[in-house]
Parts: sequence; C-alpha cells; structure tokens
Amino acid sequence: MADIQAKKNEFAWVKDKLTQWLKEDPEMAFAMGAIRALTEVVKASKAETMMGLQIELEAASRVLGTVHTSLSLKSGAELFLRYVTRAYLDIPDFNQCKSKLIERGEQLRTKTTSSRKQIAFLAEPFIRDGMVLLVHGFSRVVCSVLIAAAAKEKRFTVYVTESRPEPNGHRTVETLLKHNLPVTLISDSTVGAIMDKVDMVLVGAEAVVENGGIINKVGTYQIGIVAKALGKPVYVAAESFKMIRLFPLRQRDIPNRKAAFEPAQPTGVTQEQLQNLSVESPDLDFTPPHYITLLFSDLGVLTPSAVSDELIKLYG
Amino acid sequence: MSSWKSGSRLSGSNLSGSYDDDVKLMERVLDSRQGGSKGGSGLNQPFTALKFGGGGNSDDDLTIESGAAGVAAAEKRNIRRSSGSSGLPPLAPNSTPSSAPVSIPNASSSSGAASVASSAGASPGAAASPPAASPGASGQKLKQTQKPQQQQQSQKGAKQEKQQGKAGEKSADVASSPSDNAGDKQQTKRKQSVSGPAAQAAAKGAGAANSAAASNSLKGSKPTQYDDPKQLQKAQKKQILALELSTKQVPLFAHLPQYERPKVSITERLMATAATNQASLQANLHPKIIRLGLKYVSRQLQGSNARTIGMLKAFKHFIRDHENVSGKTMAIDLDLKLRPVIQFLIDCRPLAIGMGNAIKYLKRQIGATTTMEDNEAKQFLISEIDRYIQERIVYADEAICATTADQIQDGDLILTYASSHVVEASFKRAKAAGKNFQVIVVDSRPRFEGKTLLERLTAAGIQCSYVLLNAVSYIMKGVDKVIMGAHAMLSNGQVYSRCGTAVVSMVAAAQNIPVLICCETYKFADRVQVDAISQNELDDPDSLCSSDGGEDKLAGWKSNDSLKLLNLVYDLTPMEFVSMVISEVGLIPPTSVPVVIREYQLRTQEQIQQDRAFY
Repeated sequence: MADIQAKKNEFAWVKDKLTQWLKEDPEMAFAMGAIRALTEVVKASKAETMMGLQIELEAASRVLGTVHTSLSLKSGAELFLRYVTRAYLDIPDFNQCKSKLIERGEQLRTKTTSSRKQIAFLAEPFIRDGMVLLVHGFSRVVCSVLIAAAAKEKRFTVYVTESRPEPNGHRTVETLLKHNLPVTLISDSTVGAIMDKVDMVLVGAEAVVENGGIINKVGTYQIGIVAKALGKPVYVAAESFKMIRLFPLRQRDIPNRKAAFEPAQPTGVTQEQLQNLSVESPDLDFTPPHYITLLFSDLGVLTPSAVSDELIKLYG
Repeated sequence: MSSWKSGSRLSGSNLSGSYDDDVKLMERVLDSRQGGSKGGSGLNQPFTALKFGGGGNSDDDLTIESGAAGVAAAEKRNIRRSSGSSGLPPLAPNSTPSSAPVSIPNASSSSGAASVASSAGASPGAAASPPAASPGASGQKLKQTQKPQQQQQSQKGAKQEKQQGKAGEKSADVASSPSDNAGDKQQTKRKQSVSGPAAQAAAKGAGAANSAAASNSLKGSKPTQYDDPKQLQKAQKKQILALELSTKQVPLFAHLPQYERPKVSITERLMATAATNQASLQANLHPKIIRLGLKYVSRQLQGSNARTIGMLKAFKHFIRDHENVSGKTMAIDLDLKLRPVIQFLIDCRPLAIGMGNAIKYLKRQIGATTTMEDNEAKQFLISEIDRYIQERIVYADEAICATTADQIQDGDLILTYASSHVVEASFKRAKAAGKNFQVIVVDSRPRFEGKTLLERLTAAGIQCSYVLLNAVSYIMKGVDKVIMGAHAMLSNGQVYSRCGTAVVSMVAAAQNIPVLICCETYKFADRVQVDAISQNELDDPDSLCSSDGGEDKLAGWKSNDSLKLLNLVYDLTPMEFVSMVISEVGLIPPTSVPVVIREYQLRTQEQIQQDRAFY
C-alpha cells in the first residue's frame, strides 16, 4: 500500500501523456487511453519482478483516475491489470511476459475502432426501414450504429433528447446532422409524451455493471421505465471493456459525479431567500437490468444476464 | 438378536421415545465401546476390526469450528459422556463380514455393462465395477441369482483394473453411484448406457471420460415418489432405518415422506428394520455415523453448514477406521460401504442439497484413488474432506462475511429472516468494523429460529427488533436491505430456503427493497425446480399444535376428518425477487448461478487431472 502511494509521484508523466492523447484524438475511448498509458508504463518500467511491475501499474492507474473520472477509464485500467495477472500465470518468465504485455497493449489500442465497427455491424440489422428511434445523451458508439444503418440506405427518424444540463444531446444532433440524418430534438421531459410513437430506444453506456444494468447519463433510467411501461425495447450499445465489477443495488450505490453544468438558478429571489435553495445535479444514473432488452457489444448481442457470465469468465 | 434384547433391558434405557434420551443412550453405549474391547459376546468381527481413533473425547471432532455455537452448546447440554464401559453389546446387528460386497445386487445393468466392456475392449469403463449400479432391485431372490454373476464381474473387474490401473474408468463407476438413492432400475440402466459410451471415450483420454462421467454424476437422480405404492415398497426395502410413515398426510404432499415421531427409541427401530431388511442387517454402521444420524433425527444438528460438516467429519472417522477386507481396491470397497451409510443418513433426515454435493465430491475423489495403496487412499480422502470443509465452507463463509459486511452501510436498517449462520457472522463483522446499523429479525412458528439469532446479535451489541412473519409487510417500509441465507440455489436462479423466505422476499420486492441472499457455492444445485411442492421436506405436523400455555385447540387433529396439518420446511423464492447472491466468488445476479456451477465443473476437471498426474 505504502509502495503504491510513494510511486504515484513517479507517474505524473502518465497523466500528461493521457491528457495529450485525449486532446489529439477526441474519438478515442477513455478505456483505450488508459490501456495505452499503462502499456507505456510497462515499456518504461525498470522493475525486475512481476510484483514490482504490478505495483507500478497500480500506482499509474490511480494517477490516471485523476485525469478524468470516467468509469470506462477505470474499467480499462482494471482490464489491463487483470490481463497482466493472467498473462503472468501463463508465461512465468518475466521478460517474456513483459514483451507479451507490450504486444497486447499495442493490439488493444486498435480495438476501439474495431469494437465500434463490430457493434455497428451487430446492431444495424435491428434498425429497420421506417423505424422511429429514441436516443439519449452523447455516445460515439450509438452514433456509429446510426451512421452504419444510414449507410445501408435505411430510412429512419431519430428523436434526440437534449440530455440537459450540458446539454449532451446537442453533440449527438451535430454528429448526426453532419451525416445527413434527419433528427428531431426534444427536451428531456417530452420523452413520455412521444414514447408511443417510438419503436425502440438506443442508448450507450458509461459502464455495464455486474447484473447487466448500465450506468449512463442521467435520464436513462427514466427513459427505461417509460419504455418498459409502454412495451418498447431498450437497447444498449457498449464495448466489452466497459463491463465493470460493480454491483449497485440502488441509485445511491453508483459512484456519482456532479454534472458539469447545473440547472440555471432562479433570478427573482433575494440572496437571503436563496439560502433555502439546494441544487441536485447528478451526472449519472443506474438502470437496472430488467429495463434493458439487449446489449450490443463486441462480444456479441447479449442479454443482461449474460453480462455476468462474461464477467465471471473474464475475472474468474 | 438375543444379545440385543438383553441390551434393551439396560438400566437407564428409556423407551419413552424422546430423542434426547435416545442420544444419551447412544452416547453411553458408544463411549463404552470406545473405552475398550469389553463388548460382550455380541461384538461382530467388523467392529473389532475397527480402530477407534481419537479416544473418548471424540465429541470435539464433531464440534463445528465455523461457529455454530448454538449447536455446540446443544451438544454439551444434551450429551453426557460416560466413562468406562458397561459391557453393553453393540448396537448394530450381527452380520457376516464378507457378505457386504455381494449384498448389493447389480440387476440387469451388469449384463448390459458387461457387453459394453467386451465391445469397448481396452476400456473396462462402466462394466469393470460390479457395484456400479445401484439400488434398483433389492429382493432377496434377485440377489442370489446375481451373486455368481457378481463374483464373476468382480473378478473380471479386479483383473482389468490391475491391468489398466486407469483412473478414468472409475469415474464411470462414480457416475452411476449417485443413482444410489433413486431406486429405479430403468434409471440405472439408462445411466449405465450413458456411461458406457463415456467409458469408451476413456480410451481416448481419461479426461474425456471423466468429464462425461462427472456431468452424469451431477445430473440429479429421480427421487422416490412416496405415493406410488411400488416405489414406496422399493424404497422401504432399501431402508436402513425405517421410521414409521405418517398415517395422515396432506394429499398435495403425499409424494414426500412424512414420518411419525417414533414411539420407541431410534436404536430399537434400527434393530426392527434390521429384522426385515437385508440391507439394514448388513449395514454395519460406524458408531459415529449412528450418532450423527440421531442428531439429525432429533434436530440437534440443524442448518445446512452444520449438517454438512457433521457428515463430512463422520465420514472421516468412517474412512479412517475402515478396513478393506474385500480384496478389491479401496475405491470400490469404500464406494460400496458408503452406500448403506448414506442411506441411513437419508432415512434419518433427507439430505440437504449441500450435503448431496459434498457426497458427490467425495465419490469423485474416491474414484481418483484407484491407483493408490489402501493407506495412501485413506490419507488422500481424509485430506480431501478436510480441504472441502476448509475451502468450500469455512473460507467461503469468511469471504461471504467480508463481502456482506461491506454491503452494510452506516445508518442502514437491515431485515433478516430466521437464522443463517453466515448472515449472523456478517452482522457481527460489520459491527466490529464500526458500522452503525440496526437489524429487524423476522421469525416464524413452529421453529422460532430467529430467537437464537436475536440472542446472539444482541449479545454482540447490535440493535435489534423482533417480529413474527405476519408483521413483515408492516415492518418492511423503511428497510434498506433484506439479507437472508439459503439452503440452496437452484440452476434457474430460484432460492430454496427456509419456509417463509419467499414471503419476505416478495414483500421486499414489492417495495423495491433489495434482497441479498448469502449462499456458499457448494450449495449451488445443478437442478431446477419451479415450485416448492415437487421436492420439499415435511416436518412433524405435531409441532404446529403446541401453543404457549392455554388450551391446545389442535390437539385432536388426527381424529378430525376435516383437518390436516402441514409443516413444510423449505420454500422457493422466484428469481425476480432476489437482487443479488453473495457467494465466495463474489456478488452475482441470481441468473449467474448456473454459470458458477459450470465454471466450477470445469475447474474441477482440471483439478482432477492434476491430482491424477500427481498421484
């Protein structure tokens, strides 16, 4: 423990590198950035034993956690560390193992685009001609699915929620408009009103949890409940590295972050009266698995219960 | 027989039929026998051959370290040790030592198996083991016709074994032995034919046969339907201890056995059964086993973990004291000798699902000892049993406690039902970690298990409330989590637990309160049930009668035609009501129970391979 704490200072350069990469390539998934950074750590490592290397990687991943609180960053790091442990069990020779890790890390880098391609390939048949979709938040995976479907010359309309307070929905709208897709922008509260017109809901995920539920932009849970009440399927498009070993039972069990922006405060009140005002603006919410119909991931099209199966296979 | 009759006139022997008295009597007799060879004329050979390890203080062997403190206390209260022998005759009936191997008929499946063997050639497989099948028929006539065939088979088997010495074939033997308690000839045949091709695959590699056999052994055997007179007869012929069947049963549950509280002592019933059943007569039960059985009947040993550990420890004694005089390998002999033991335990009280899994594991390990010397095999099996207890129960409980304690947050109001040892330990651990929480204990008649839990939790300084099951919907509001234990987890994600668990889960789910079930993986059953009726346990309906003081309104229920009492022990909680299962592999949704079973099976294959390579 103390070792890890001490070592953290050594890895400030990791932080800088990651920030730089994220700036250069905004399309890069956070998890991939984490894996790339950790691969660099392995390359630069002077450790002689696996134990030493693992301590360094632990310290580095903690430093990375401070760059961005994205859950997928954490899950990517966890995934790589898990792979390290596994690889060492298979390849007891340290130097051989180290080079294998570097090789694998490089391989995983290219996985981002390939994951998204795979997901788009799997999800696109679910979008049929004349369908009405509802999307929430800004997810690059979801956008790639829609773009792939459009490329197949399917005609469909997309309702995009604003996803306030940022509002993230506007980024989705921009991306889709750039690919000439017809979109309808609605405010978050209109979801209930238009749900009966919708054929399916498609969302991304920040993280996919142990029981197959997802942690995503706040508002996803609401949409899930309304969709279930009206019998509409909810599909989630998420890469496999977003699956994390977390098992939240209720909303308060998720590592919650405050949104980047808060709802606007009322203007017609005095300072003193403002004392009574408190603002809650969570960034994420948790959608339990029974509101989710299917998950599209690079491992295939999964039911929520299959997520745990994959996690058990991966993490033992 | 005569020696036994004299035994029944012993001073202090109590014929009132109370369980406590039975156990006291047993203890005195067992301890006296352990003291020395002063057993009188009735001692039969197998018993003199037994070496009583551990001396007189062997009760501590059965004390469960994993903390069933109440059980240990009960033991201390009810069991008095007597020193010295009193010349009492042994309790098990006389029998000829060598008859055991032949007494279990192989029925027609042996001939089927023989043909498979000859066709398979190099892989003796399923055929090699004469006792390989089971309990299908048990008539005397059949036995005699099978005898010569048996002996032939056993010789052939022994020869082949010596030639091959492969452990792979044993697995096929092991595979068919779990059909022990099924009693259906057809079933046995089917199993044999299934393990036949499996055995043929053994020629390709021990692993293949083993996996097929292991998967066979993990398939549930068909339980006896007690309302079918034919099946009932068959089952009764097999019984080592025949308790009196209840005369008044609820028709819906007539397929399950319900026994009257015995009017004579259990040991007398054991003798009575021996008079009619060959199997019982030749059982030669180890005293530890008899003692264990009595504890089951009298409910002194309660709770899946306690019962399983008790059973495994008794098996250790049994294995240690077992002398292989049969001329076959230890594996075959032990497998054969274990059957009456297991049958006896079942007759005392139906096996817990975890116990069944432990037995399957033990049989698999017995199958792995074919190439070992007798003593080596014994050592191996004893250490394997120890390992099972340590890994699958003790350490698993540790892991579960740690995880559950983490789930408990400051300020939580937690609800629990009845009494689960691992849930209790988790609460104590969370308390020790300084968490501030309160517990509501929900309890129910007739067992009132929650009372002991309440006592222990309050002793640990945890703030508790206590309600009966009828108040659960009232008390549920404001509860943060419901944490309960389980008897078993079924493959379709349902929870098989103490009767009342389903109600508590349903009420919690209706109010969106998460339900956490703590269950060790050794209790994960590779079977599916959709209701609590097809398989269950019926307890004594008379316990529903008593009330605290006042007039017992149900006293005359037996003579009342319109009234039947039902005392169910377990119920089934649907998967939808359960949020999370906490086991030693971590937190899993109930849908992942079959995944864990599958992964464990795969791991065990590897382990068995490794063990084989080692030995």
